[in-house]
Amino acid sequence: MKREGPVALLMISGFLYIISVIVASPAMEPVAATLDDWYKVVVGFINLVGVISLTQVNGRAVLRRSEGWFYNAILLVVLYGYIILGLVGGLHNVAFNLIYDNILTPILMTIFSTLTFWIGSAAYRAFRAKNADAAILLVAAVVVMIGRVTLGSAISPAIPKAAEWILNFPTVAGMRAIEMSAAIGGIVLALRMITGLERSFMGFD
Amino acid sequence: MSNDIWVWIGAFLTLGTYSILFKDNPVYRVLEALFVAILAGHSVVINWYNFQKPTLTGRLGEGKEWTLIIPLFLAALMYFRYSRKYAWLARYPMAFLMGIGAAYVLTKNLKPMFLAQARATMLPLWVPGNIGATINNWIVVIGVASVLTYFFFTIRKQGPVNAFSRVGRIYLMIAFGALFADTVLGRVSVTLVRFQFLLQDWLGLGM
Amino acid sequence: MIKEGMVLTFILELIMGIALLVVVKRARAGKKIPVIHEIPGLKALEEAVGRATEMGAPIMFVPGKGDLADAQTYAALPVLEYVAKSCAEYDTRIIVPLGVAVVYPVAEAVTRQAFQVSGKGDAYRETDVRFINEQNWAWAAGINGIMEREKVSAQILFGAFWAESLFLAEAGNRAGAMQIAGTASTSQIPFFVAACDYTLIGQEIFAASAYLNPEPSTTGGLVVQDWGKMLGLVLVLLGSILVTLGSNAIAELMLK
Repeated sequence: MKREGPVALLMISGFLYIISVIVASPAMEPVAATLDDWYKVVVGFINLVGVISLTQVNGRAVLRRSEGWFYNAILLVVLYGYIILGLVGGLHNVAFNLIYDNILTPILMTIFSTLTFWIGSAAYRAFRAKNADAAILLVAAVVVMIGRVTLGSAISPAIPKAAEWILNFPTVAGMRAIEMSAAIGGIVLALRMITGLERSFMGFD
Repeated sequence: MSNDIWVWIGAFLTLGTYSILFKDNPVYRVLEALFVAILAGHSVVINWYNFQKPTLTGRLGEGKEWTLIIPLFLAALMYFRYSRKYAWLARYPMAFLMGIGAAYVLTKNLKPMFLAQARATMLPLWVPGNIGATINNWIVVIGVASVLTYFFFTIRKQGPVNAFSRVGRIYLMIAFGALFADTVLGRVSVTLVRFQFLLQDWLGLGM
Repeated sequence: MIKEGMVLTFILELIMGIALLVVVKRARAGKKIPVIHEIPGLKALEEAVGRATEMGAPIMFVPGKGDLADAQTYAALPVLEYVAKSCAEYDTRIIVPLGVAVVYPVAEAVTRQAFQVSGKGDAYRETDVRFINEQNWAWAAGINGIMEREKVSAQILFGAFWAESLFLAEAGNRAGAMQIAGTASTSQIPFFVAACDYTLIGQEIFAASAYLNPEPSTTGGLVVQDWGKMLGLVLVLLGSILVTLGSNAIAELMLK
């Protein structure tokens, strides 16, 4: 019940879904739809484990007065305050949306925009490496970067063309092969799971 | 300068968040806590109104879809993970999700990620009267073939196989460089929008 | 009858499934499978744990942002298991921040089990495997916070990532952590290549379990993966030759 049961459930639900998707039979059609639906329901109702974890981690820090516990306390107060606000006031509650649009959104957009700065420092480190791989990467990057801004065509009309060509041919080829091989990797892994060959890493043993 | 209190708050939040670029500091830590908390709370509320409530009251309550009890029961088992004695019951919902997850991989990935990509690479190796197109097609076909060869794990790479696999590695580096550069430009525009907000909306400077 | 559009998928996966069972059976009977292709990033995992142990600082393992329907998540779990076991053996702390609620209990179970198998069940800290947020940027900001404050010595990023990949890798860099990444999310690989000490590219993440835990099921899987790529190679070359000669036969077959 503790080990074989979950593995059996994994195999049965997986095979049932596959058969219902692959076999052309009116009787099997609803099976895949039902399993799809059940998957969503299970996911939708176990989501609370996330909030419980947040509460455990931050609650513990507050109770133990760990370094920076004050911030953990803020997190908990805001988390539960906001949940109560939403559940009591409803989705169209003014304060609920005001907080989201005017407090959350600026932070979110700013965090996203910090990427520009990180790109600079990552590029600096990557291109500093003195090996053949880094050199090829650097040349391709420089051509595409210059080719994509007006500076490129001002220097020479060949640069934007070269940038387009790099993106449309060698890059497409490289990405395509990565995707094809990763698809095979994922499929073989899924086959190992569904045939019961792999069970160690699932935490079932 | 703006007279709108929310613009001022937005400017404070933007500058406070940017402060992490220099060093971790108390203002950023408060903002980080707010950020994580509001988003986590938001998803709980949205999930309740858009999914859990209609499932329980609509589909189960009014619609009498009794089969829903099965996934609800499975989901409930997950909460036994907090019991020392019965924690193993939580393996059942995990197993169900993994079974369907593996089945999704097996039924949805091969066609778009493998077959369609292979099909798109089946290009004419001779385009009459168009040497440019011919060369480009060769570039793509050789690229896909050599990168696939690069990823062989159990075949000894000697002689021509090794050389071909090295060609694959070169393709990969070109692709990574090109994609890196291509993405940079998109990211910069997001940052410009933030600066525009600070300079124009908040400080009222013309840009 | 097989549904239209699923015929080739069915046939190929059936063949791969049978091949897998046969290869694994033969491997169990003692046939050795050579693993040739070098993946330096996997060797570096040991170095990362060693470094953490020396510094007395924790390791961060980020199993991506994919859910349980994403193959990359399953590729990350055996690596998590391996790193957690090494950490348990050397009494080093491992922090696992999750960005998908349904993956959280799985990652927690895998980490806990790794500690128990290593006989260090008591050293396992439940709150070190923690959920942060479903939203990418809140998850990334949370990880950045842990990075800044817990003095993490090494960060291992493994699985599916989106735009937050560079944010995470740079957080690690600022903290001076050693970084090992692995992803098949094509648009994020360049950022990891640029920002991390080691990067596993694309399919290499699906080969990881065979390197870290070489036994018939994993190395057998590696052989079948290679056969799959060979098939891809043959299809592409043969298809191109036929298209050049004016026949779309193989290209059309791909749609079946």
